[in-house]
Amino acid sequence: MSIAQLRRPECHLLGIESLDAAEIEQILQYARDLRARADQGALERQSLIGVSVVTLFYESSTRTRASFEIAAQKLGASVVSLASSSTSVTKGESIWDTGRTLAAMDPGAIVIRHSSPGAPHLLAEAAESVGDTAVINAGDGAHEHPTQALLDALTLTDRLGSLEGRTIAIIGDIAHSRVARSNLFLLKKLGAQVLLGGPRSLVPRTLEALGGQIVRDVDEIIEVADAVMMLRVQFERLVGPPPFPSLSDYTRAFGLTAARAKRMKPEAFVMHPGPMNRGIEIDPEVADGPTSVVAHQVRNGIAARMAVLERAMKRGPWAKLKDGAAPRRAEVRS
Amino acid sequence: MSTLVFRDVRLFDPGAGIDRPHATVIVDGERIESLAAPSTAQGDRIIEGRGRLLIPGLIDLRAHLCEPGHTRREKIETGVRAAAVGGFTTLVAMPTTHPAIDRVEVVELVLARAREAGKTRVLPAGALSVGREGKNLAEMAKLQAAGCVMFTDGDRAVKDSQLLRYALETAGDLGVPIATHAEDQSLSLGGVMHEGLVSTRLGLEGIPGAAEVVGVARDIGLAELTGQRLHLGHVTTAAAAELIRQAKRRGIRVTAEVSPLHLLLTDECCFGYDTAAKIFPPLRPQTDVDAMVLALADGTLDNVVSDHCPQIELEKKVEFDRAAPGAIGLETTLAAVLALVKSGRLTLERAIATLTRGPAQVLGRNDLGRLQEGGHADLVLLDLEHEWTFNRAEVRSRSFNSPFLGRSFPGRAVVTVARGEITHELEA
Repeated sequence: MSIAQLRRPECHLLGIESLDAAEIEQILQYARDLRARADQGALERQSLIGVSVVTLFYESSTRTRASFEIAAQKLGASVVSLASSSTSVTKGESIWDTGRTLAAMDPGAIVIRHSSPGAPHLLAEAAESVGDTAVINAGDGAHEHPTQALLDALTLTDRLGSLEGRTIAIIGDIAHSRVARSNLFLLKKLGAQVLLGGPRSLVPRTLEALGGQIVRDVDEIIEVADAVMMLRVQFERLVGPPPFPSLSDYTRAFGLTAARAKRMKPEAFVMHPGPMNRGIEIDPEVADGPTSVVAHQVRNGIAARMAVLERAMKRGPWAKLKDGAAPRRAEVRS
Repeated sequence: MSTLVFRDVRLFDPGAGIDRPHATVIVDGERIESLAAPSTAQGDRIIEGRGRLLIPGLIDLRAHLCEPGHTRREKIETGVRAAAVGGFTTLVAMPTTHPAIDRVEVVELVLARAREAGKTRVLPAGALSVGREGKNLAEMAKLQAAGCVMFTDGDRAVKDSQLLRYALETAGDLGVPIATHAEDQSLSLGGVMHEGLVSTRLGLEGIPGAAEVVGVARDIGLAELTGQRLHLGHVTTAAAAELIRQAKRRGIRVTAEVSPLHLLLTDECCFGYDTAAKIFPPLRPQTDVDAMVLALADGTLDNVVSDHCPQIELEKKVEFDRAAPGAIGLETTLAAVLALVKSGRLTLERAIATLTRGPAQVLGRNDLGRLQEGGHADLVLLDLEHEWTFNRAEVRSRSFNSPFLGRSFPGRAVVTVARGEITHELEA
């Protein structure tokens, strides 16, 4: 398979890496507008009435799927929810064929989660070969989880305002984390400093090429960070022997214990994309404590995904691109 | 017996120190009758060389021909056709068939199919272990008698060091080399591309260079222990090349090879999740690629192989981590090596030697890969000025998986002669 240049890159959301800061800011700003309107019970314009959104999840998910589906419904879209266990995937259908089949039914967007990095790109190629369906990445293996980074950015900016010059810590299994990659890309584009912490076996040096700064002493990170993002160990992606001696040894060295949390800057706060492994990377009392913004993150997920869905359908601030206007990504490229 | 005459060729066989312009060559039957015939010589067929190079037919020590068992990917007939286009007259067929080439019947089948396919010499490599499973040695004496010229488990590392030791000793008794795919599989477990900056960016599981380095170190250790001939298959890392360089200096009987993929392409080809660039062993970063070219130039690496590994589209047009690895190579290997000559990184002498005398010596065959009167009429008329593009439409292999598709190359086999028969001729 050769790499096809996608025809409608401005509609798909395959990752944060290919977006520029202005595009990210635009999505965030629109998400804030939508959130404000929703909070007032005034999502007056049901912008996606008549649009079908397919959620195609090859990996299990609680919050992301529910969040996308609620976001779609709030905008008036109808949701078709597919899980790999109930689709032709169990009959051996390739993602290429699944993409072409679904796109031939002309839904507005397909939201895909898959364990293989790059799977959404392949699905987008397949979809573009038959129609105009947008593909939204809801997490592809250890690659990207762009809407998570967007909702995290909403949460961070809610508390910190501009991220320019801010220090954000990401601690845990960075190697296998799509959340870490998408956040790293986004935070760097918005001018933040990103400190990465965790065991050497799960925080490879090559991450520094993506813009993160690795600090081996977790306590040092925690003392200087404006926000601390804790990640779980992705046991499902590990092969071979365990990369650290034991869970409790991991917690001892890298977990956000109550004692460690006390060393945070007074106004600093704790984030976690979920699912949490309580007692391993984060103490329950920290997870549920006053410095935790986990519930706020989840709430922001709806707004971020509403914005992304409208972008996919060229609604909201993206409507002006609709008729013959050159897509901005293409301009950037040429 | 028909005769074939090449007129006005530049005889070029660096292994034998031959570089002679304006020569006329007469082929009679399967043999070279004369390398210094008068320019007026006549024959049943006369080919005008117009000063182009006439080199020995190329020898490939690593071609997956897929028959029996995987004939949707390739057949011996189509593989041999691709080989001829690429200037190869001798192929060592990997035992990565189904069933493996681990019993006499399979050797006979491969040889029979090869005979039907024409004059290209197909030399089966026997499986080192039964079923290439790494448990019990294959019956090497019987397999050798049936026609196997080396033993290898193909692209699977021999996990059990003791088994590899016994394999080296057994093959040593028979006077044939063992070829390995050097890899520590516990380090590469789960990996789908080179572990480095690109894999980190793409979120793909990596195979560290150290997986190969550890494997090569072990294999060299066993070659030293047994004193037997070991050929290291498709080497890709700078550190492994350095180990081989040292081993040779110390007099250990190792030889080693590299594929054009690892001489020209880096792991950056995997960006965009391009499964054509999913290769095994994986494409490495530029520093390793540069080290491979240097190691080929200085003789640390003995030969270049096609590592021809056909895969059907169904197995490539999927998620990167699920895609089948490998690329076809028979039609581009010579051209890829000539690209290194063109860019001044390899001498023409060395380039041709790595495809002729180099692999012949690995096999211990003095009769192959050389121009000599009375010798096999395995010849390639080579046009160094012929610029061409490797397009899908002209692929002769049954499969199309190659990261070189669309790439332009300098130099091409214009005519290939295997055992006196023209197996390939570019339409003028």
